[in-house]
Amino acid sequence: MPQPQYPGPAGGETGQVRGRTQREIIWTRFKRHKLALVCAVILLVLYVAAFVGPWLAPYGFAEQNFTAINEAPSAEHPMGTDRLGRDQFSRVLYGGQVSLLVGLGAGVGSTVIGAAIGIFSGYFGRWVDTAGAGFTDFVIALPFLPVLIVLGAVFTFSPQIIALVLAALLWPTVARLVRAQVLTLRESEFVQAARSIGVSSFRIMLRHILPNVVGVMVVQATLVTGIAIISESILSFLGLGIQPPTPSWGNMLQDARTAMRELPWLTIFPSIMIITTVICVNFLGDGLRDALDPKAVE
Amino acid sequence: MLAYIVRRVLFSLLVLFFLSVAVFYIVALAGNPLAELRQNPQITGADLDRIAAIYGLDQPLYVQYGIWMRDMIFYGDFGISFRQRTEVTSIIADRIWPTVMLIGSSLILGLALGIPLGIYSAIKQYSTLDKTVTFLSFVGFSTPVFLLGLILQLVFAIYLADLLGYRIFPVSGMDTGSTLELLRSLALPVTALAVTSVAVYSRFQRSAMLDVLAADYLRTARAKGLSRKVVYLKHALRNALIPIVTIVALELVTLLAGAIVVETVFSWPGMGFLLIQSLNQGDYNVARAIIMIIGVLTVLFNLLADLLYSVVDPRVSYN
Repeated sequence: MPQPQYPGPAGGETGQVRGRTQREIIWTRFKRHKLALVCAVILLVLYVAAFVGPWLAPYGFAEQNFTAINEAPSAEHPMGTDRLGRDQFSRVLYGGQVSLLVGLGAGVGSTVIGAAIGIFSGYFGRWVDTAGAGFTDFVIALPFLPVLIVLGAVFTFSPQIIALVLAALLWPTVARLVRAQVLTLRESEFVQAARSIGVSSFRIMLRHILPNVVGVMVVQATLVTGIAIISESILSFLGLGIQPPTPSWGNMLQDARTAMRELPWLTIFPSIMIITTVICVNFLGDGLRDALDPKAVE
Repeated sequence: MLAYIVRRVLFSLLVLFFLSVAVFYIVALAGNPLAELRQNPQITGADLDRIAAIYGLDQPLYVQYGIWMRDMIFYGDFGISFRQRTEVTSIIADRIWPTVMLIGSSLILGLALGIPLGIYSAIKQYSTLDKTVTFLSFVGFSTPVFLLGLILQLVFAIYLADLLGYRIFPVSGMDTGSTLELLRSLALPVTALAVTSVAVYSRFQRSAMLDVLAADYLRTARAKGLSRKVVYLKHALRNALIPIVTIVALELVTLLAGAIVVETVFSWPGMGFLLIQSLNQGDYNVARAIIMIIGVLTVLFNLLADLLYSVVDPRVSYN
């Protein structure tokens, strides 16, 4: 939405105030949510570390060193080593790549699917809505974890496939929220105006509806990312997700169970990574929700 | 209302039908249940055919599916476990009670802690306690239930025992020696499972209570000089408890899923642990049966939540 622009600096000699752009308003609101800001930075660091990590990692994820097995954290191995002498710091970095990629992929994927279905069924209404909303209800009614577990047990999942499966199961919340917004947007004056001058339905959805639901989409993409990271870790922890030797935070925790007392660092570090990531994702989602809410008052 | 109920019930049946087809066919992809016998050199091809014919495995899959559904619905018979060579029903029967106990205790603990915390947070809005509860429930939401289980296991079962030289909580398993032993082995899994519930209930009870506290009739009650206790507990709480009923139904769905994970972490001999065990061992008929049981319960609780929503709150209408 374009804001009126006034010349002159804010609070300048003329006494005129420059109107703020939408982006500035959102940024100002987001900055106020200190925790979300901190979490955004932490997540950025984690994602960068995970993707640059393989070059930074001192060892390979499957590199075994039998002269350094079961070592407690030290300068050499900041997160210790396991019973095969594999450096846990390197494995946490590689595992993070898998876990974070699955999370982000599922978050973005489910949001795209959910938004498409939500916009179509909300905008067209009638039988399109009956089908779209019905399908949404249907997927939401499936028992999520049992379905995921059966799929994981029968098929061997690569990280990409897990992200796809999670996206295919997690989109309904996005679709519901987007549809609800589109139902009101459809009746709004600017959409009716566009329709009255003959703009095609497709163009209306793309140019007039979509920009107004982007806020919901961003928040949901963030929250689904958190759910997806948890789901992948559960699945891999149960031995039904990412298969060793490829590390993910979930299967590292499964690996750690055989020696929880003797080698606690194998449990502690992946746990810290998962909890930190998910808490940060959720706080970020919270902050974004406040910042992107068009009804929020200053 | 009746039309709405009928529609929801039919929809739930459709979901279950789809789930049963999907589970049956996907699990069938995992492999032939007789694969193990085939490797036995003493069993000839003719024997295999005979065995396959006895269990109907020579039939096309859709016929097998039909028989499976028929036996399940009309006789409560889930077929045979080829791995354990007994009836699936008798294998599962032993596992029901531990799961019910785990989920039931978590539900009670969740409600007993979550609701008072929510009420208190609402009455003392923005107090230190309110902020602490808000923050902790956020952390509770964000911690995967298996991780919580692992942490509890590490801290309270392993390190605490090392520290005291005496084990209060067993690391895993169910100890049925005495009631006390049972409670001790139940403590950690129940805590792991209940934390999310406490977070959910306290958040929900807080917002429900805040809604009610803002209502006009509450101002009236205060204005006519009733004591705070009467206003909060009689006028406010009674109405603020209504929405919790639906949340309990929905939370049962979460607990069912959580139980699969928590039981596996603590080797708790319930249905969830059995599901993971049977999938890892290729005991597919057992896995199918458990998935269907969990599926039916999930759909049922969702339906219940949906219907209760309109029953307990007369303001909601579906006409």
